[in-house]
Amino acid sequence: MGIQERDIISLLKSGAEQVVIKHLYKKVFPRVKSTIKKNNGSSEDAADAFQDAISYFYKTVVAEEFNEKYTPYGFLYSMSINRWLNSIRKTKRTSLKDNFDDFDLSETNSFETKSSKVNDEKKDLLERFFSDLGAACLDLLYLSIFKSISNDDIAIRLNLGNANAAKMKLYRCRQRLLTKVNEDEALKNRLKELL
Amino acid sequence: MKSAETIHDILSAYIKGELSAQENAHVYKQIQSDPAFKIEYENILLVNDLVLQHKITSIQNICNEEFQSFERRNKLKKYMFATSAFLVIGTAVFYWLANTPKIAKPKQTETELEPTIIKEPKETIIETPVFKEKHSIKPLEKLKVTEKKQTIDTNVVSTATNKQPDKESKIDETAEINTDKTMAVARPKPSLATDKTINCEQNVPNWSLEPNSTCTNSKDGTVVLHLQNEESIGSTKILSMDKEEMNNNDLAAGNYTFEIVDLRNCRYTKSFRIDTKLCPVDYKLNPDFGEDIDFSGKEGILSISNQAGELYFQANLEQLDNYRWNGRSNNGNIDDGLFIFRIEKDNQQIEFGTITIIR
Repeated sequence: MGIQERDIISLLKSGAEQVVIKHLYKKVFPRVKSTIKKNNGSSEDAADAFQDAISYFYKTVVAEEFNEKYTPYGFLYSMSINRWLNSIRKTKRTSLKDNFDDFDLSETNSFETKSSKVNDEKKDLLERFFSDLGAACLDLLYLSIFKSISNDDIAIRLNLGNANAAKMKLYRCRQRLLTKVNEDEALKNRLKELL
Repeated sequence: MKSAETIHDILSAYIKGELSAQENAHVYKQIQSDPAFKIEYENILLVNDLVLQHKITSIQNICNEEFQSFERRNKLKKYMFATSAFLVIGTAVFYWLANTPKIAKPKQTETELEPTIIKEPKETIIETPVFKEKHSIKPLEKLKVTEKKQTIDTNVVSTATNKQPDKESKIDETAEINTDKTMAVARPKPSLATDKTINCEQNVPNWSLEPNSTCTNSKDGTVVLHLQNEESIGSTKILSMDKEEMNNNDLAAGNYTFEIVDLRNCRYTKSFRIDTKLCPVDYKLNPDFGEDIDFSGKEGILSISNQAGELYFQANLEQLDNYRWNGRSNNGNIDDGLFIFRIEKDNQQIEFGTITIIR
């Protein structure tokens, strides 16, 4: 049985983002690409816009800020088109065929993306800090960022015995990461600028 | 004094929103007033931010992979569509070309149109009903013949008043310009753009047929084509009386027409007949396994002898009998070995062969 739209948020929270993203590229991306290409955009424009939309969507899910009035598909579609419209308004390089005046984008208007160069630098720095952590720590840290996931949940999902054990291990993982970040003050400051 | 771990727990709970309003207000005050709390609070926020950003980069990597995969699938779909379209168009063009007449039709008036017929006295049975029917249906496809002079070449006909006829026309062998769409596949085609210049009467291929009979109740008759100048022939085919194209190795008894089309696209036909012959039949029999030989429906005297010529078994078969022989001799014995059998009716052998009894 395939993924249902209503299950997407819970799947993301359970760490099944690979499966969800694959599904979204089958279900939503073709629509986004079609709209953008119809309005003189390119496949790459659509890919960039959709990738940013997925990133933003993920952040809102993590922060428990996803507005239930949207469906995931509709949110991602609107988000992608909004992101793309913002980019073409900056460059004024495309004439639109469709009328996007009625497009409900209020939710996503604050969404800004950084240039790919900045993103690449950020990725490099993050990789430097996270490279020594190990997969177990990484899984634990990933789950800890979800506001709705308690230590009890984490203990069950990662088979850590109990909430206390999960809390202890999480504390140690955080400390290891923090130590690594604090080793180089210049890099730490640069990363703070990029975040 | 609280330990760093305890401070971390309190602040984590505060950030996750797990504390009551009163506890929240208390922690907030501590963050503002206690430097240790403030530093730990900022550290937790930084770590959370780093983890989230790291997770986002991994998500972006997944997105990139999915996009590449999506594009590859799309390209493959386009490629498959283009290939399918190409195949469909190619097939359509192929059939269109195959169904297009290979020569331009001669521009002649209807009164001039009659089939080209070449007669050679030595040959027999050439004007078949099929041939006549073809000529009446497709007069435009044939070369012209002037009635009086009996010449064939369309070029010659168009200037018939200036030319003397070459031959008399006879009917036991035929020649015509081939416009059959199914013909001449096996060899390269000559250019037929100027079909009016083709005279099928000239350079008639020297060919003969050697039919070989088929065994009774079988379809293994053959016909061998003897041809002097094989290189001049474009294609050959064998047609049954029902115009069905036949394989020249699987012919049943009956009458057939052999067609050859030369490289000028002139068609020549000859009729031939496949007769039947009596062929030996070999049976094998293991009586211990309950096997027997079915002679049902056959009529005559069945005689089975051993290799020394001694009669082993004899029976009178009636056509309506359902007779099966189980290997037993007239004496009731069953011997192993090779036996020769024949069925004769009115002193004529109607079936013969061998029976091997193995136990």
